Amino acid sequence: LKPYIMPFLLVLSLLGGLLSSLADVQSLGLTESDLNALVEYLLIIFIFVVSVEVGASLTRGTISSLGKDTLLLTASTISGSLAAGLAASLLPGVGLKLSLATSLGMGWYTLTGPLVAASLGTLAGAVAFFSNFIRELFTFFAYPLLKGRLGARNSIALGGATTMDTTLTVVAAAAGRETAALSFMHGALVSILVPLLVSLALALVP
Amino acid sequence: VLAEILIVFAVGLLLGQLLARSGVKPGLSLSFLTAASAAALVFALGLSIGSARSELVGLLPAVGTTSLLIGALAALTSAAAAYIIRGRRRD
Repeated sequence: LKPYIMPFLLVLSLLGGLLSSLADVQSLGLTESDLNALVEYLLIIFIFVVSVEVGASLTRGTISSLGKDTLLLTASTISGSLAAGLAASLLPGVGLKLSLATSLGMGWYTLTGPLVAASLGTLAGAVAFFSNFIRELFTFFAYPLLKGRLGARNSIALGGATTMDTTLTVVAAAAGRETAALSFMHGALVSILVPLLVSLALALVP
Repeated sequence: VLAEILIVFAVGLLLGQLLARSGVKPGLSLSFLTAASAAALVFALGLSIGSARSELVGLLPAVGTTSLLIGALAALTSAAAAYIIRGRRRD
């Protein structure tokens, strides 16, 4: 699949789910807890498939080429997202747990939305999903504009986990193959850390 | 759920590594499986969000604004952090 097709496919899936909910799902015998359980089961299947794909993409060559720049960039993405989460907790109605779990999703909306929904409820899940989806969309537009001001490599951090697939296309087009390789390694490393960091935020933050 | 997710993720990563080191290339089939499972998951999330629409309708502007702020802020602070942490280099 072309990377840019995925966001469209997922928006269509979300719209499909929203439209299907207009039918009376309770008349089908589906309660809110049934739907939450369905999301949890599908989340576990999704996590398994994605983790096999990420694991298979990390060849010895990729791992050995994880240089200082990839590690610094990944640390920057995490610390920047953490700072954004702390700042966003000051918004009215947004608790520290939700803001940190959401910002540490680092663009991976298909994981963060359902994970937060399973832990904090549907409304919080919607915020987590749309925040991370907006981060991905924002990267498509902001990367070409900001790479001149902040540097092509530093600007990779905009996209978080998405820089190994969907937004890799815009990095490659705007900054070339060498930066695209760094973008892929950064995205892969961030993707490995996102489930751990979001889970930690949900479990440990009061 | 959180513990299960971490265990499943770790098992999947190991399995993926085993596949890569044994020379098996999952290729397109795994990509399609990922796309299909992501689509199913997001569909179920849409169903769940839609089912709670009575409590969400009044909150939609707040959800939209909050999402926009968190998403854009997290992206910008990450890039700014990279600029500072990597020694203000613009390469």
